[in-house]
Amino acid sequence: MPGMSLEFSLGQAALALLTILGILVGAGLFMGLLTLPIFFASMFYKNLWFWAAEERTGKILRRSFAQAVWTGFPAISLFSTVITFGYFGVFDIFEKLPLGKKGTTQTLFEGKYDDLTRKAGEKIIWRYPEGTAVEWKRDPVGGHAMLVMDEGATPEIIDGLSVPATMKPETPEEEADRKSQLKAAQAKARVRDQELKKIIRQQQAGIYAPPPEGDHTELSKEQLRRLDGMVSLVVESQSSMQLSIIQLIRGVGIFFMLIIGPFPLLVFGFSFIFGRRGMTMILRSLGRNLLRTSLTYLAIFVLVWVVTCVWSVLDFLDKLTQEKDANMKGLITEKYQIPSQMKPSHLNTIKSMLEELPEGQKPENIEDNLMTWAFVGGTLDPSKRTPMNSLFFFCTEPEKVIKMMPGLEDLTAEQFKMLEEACKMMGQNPRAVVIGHAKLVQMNKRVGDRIQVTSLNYKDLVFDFEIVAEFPAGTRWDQSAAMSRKYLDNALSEYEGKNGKAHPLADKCMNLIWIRLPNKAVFESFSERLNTSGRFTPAVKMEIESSAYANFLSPYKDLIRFLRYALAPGLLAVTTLVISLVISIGVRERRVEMAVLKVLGFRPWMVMALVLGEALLLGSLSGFLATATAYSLVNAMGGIPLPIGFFGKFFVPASALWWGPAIGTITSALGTIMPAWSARKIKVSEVFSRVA
Amino acid sequence: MPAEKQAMVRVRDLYKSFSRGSEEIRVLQKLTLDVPAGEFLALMGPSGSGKTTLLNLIAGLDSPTGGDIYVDNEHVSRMSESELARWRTRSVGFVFQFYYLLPVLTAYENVELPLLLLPMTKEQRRKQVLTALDLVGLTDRMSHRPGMLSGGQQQRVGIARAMVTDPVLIVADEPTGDLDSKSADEILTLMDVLCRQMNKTIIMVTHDPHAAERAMRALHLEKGRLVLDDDRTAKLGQRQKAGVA
Repeated sequence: MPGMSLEFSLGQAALALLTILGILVGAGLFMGLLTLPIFFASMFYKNLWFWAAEERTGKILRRSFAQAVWTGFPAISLFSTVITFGYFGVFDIFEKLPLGKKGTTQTLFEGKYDDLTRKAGEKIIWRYPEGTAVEWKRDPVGGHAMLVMDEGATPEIIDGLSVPATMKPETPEEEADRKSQLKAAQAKARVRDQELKKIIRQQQAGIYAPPPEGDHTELSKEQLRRLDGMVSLVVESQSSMQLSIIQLIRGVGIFFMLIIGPFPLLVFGFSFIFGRRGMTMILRSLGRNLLRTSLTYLAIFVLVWVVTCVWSVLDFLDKLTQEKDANMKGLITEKYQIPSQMKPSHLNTIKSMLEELPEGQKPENIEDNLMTWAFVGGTLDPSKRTPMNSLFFFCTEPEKVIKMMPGLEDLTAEQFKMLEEACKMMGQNPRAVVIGHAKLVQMNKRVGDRIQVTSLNYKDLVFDFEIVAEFPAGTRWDQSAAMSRKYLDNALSEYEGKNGKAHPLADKCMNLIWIRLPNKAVFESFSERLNTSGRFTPAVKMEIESSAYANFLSPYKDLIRFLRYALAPGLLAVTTLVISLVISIGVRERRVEMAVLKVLGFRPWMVMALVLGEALLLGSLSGFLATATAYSLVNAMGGIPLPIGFFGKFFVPASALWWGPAIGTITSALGTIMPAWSARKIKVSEVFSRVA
Repeated sequence: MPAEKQAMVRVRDLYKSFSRGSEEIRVLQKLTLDVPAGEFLALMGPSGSGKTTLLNLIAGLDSPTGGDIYVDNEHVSRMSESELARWRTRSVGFVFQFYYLLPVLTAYENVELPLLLLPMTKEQRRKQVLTALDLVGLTDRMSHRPGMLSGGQQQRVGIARAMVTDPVLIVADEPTGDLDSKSADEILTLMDVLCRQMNKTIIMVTHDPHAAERAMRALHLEKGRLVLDDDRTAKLGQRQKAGVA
């Protein structure tokens, strides 16, 4: 945000974009190579079915196996297709749902699948029950032992040793020394955690180490706090491990169901239209030159991977700037200044203006339809400020978050519940903050930590926060944080009390106000009144959420245009050329074979269809694998990092699952048209006279 | 020509030329010949004499520049490309020097290929393929791909493929050219059986005099003209050197 010193300049964004593109291509190549066996396995799966369809001879075991494959594979594919279609909301397509809303069937399928995978994850890796704690007073010896073990192995010490102490470059000796200290501290921490787990297990089993006879030192409050912190870390770490396993199971499960579901079913279905023998020829032809097929697969995979990631960003930005017809959300900001810095009293004026609206136009509960934001930037270390130790807070009313926060529709039911819990904790404790998972990892902090944040924009204010929860991983707030409006107001009052005068930003601490109105007509009329009321100094303006985003994104429009109109089409054109070259070589090599088919009576269009069929199958399967991998993996890893505005991460939408095959198919088709046409035009007599 | 044998193939004033820049190259020069039904005919001659061109024209793989070709009373030389393709599927079987089996298909599937273009049920196709493979003695190898078959076996599959649609005419372009003498002999014997027992008309292009000896009749071409018509129907079984008139 302007003025926050946390925004990225266009130049920085462009450089970051090039770096990210390089990373995307590299990641695409790596994932392409990793999924190559899956590609061939998928071809084998289909080939096996075609074999089973014809197998009528041989021993009874062989025939039984063939029969099982013939009926079983389509059944498995159908089952997987139903699950994946349900999961992605295909069956709700006619419900005409508002953008981002899930239909009944999707909610049901998603719920059941998430439940099943959660149970599977819980069976594979356990977690500590809710409220696991250690009664240190009943085991003071154990407590003291833990404190001794913790010395030299605290998270702060380990964090400190993870990076060089100063900006000055380290000598190799200094680096080696630091790394060996780090290794030792990490080893000590591991031993400490193992012992701690033992104590937890013992106490859960009701075993308490009897206190020694005689005098023993009781644990102080500070020591107890440290020990409880250690226990929280261990419990949290186990929960995180379980959550990671569950997410992995979910991602992998969906990935494989996609691979064995809709796509093979489509191929099986097409074989009834185009003939099994034709499909067999196509499938087997792709296996005749494994190197060439693999390279073509990789080329399409990387193309679709990169385009999917880029289009995911564009898709997200398009959705943001798309107008919604009902329940319109708008933003109220200062009219003539950026950054917007409104008086807190503006909120009351807006409330009274809303009260003045006639019934039918007035929101039912005005409080529930208003939310304020102040932007607070801060750093954990003012002497050595880095992006890793800096963070950006949305300062807001916690109880309004789950009613008004943008992007709620992206959350799963589970994530929504987590967010609700987090907001409740914030409401109960003004010191409580919620920080995005990715940001926590960056800062090397955990839930339960207390942090001191020196504000960058609210000069001379140092905030003392307690991290009570994290924003669900994989959401758009992964890099952000939220704090309570009450805390900021208290901090500003305290400042006034201490210094005898108001903080310079006290009367400018409302950056924007979210408002929700029933429909567009009300929105437009209220907006008109607000803009011309004369009741606000400084003057304010109101705009639809989508327009506000569009204005915010306007500095990035050249970048966005480059992504949309230059990069993606450029990649498509290059890959089309590559495919055209590869298929041409293949056609030239198989001229005689194609001439033989014509001799046998195959029509020119049939020969052309065989060539096209190979390319389309290869293109669509490669594209499908690329997007299935991008969807499962990129989202599981927290999204595509792209510094456009305050959107730190972008996620691959479910709709990418049909883009991918479409891009792959279209690219292959375009690249194959010329070679397929030349195959069609092969003159039999010329081919054989040359051969003779 | 024996009066009781009606001509399966009739060629009248056939000529074929190619353009090379401004030059016109005549490959066949006003050829006229008849091939009775059930005859095993060998086409011989030096390279460039036009024998493969003649074979291609009769089989409907190319169109003549002038003249007419009739096969089984079908005016082949006037057919369009798609008509020729349909006609070839039903009426002509082609045996190549290098077999040209599709490497990704098994022997069974290669033989079945032409039948896929005909309106037949799967069971009907199966019956015909098995009959063809049985005739060439390769039923036990039908699940093998060409790469797993010897040259002779591949050529037998080629012959099975050529006759699976029960064509009236089988054309063979140097069918023994890539085989050893034993395999070549087996192939020629097979072709003999097709001709004599199944009354197939076979036209074979060959350089090999031993192969030509197995034919009932040998036509010698030179520079696109017929120079010798050696009817060996009476002399079949004896070893004779082919001569030029």
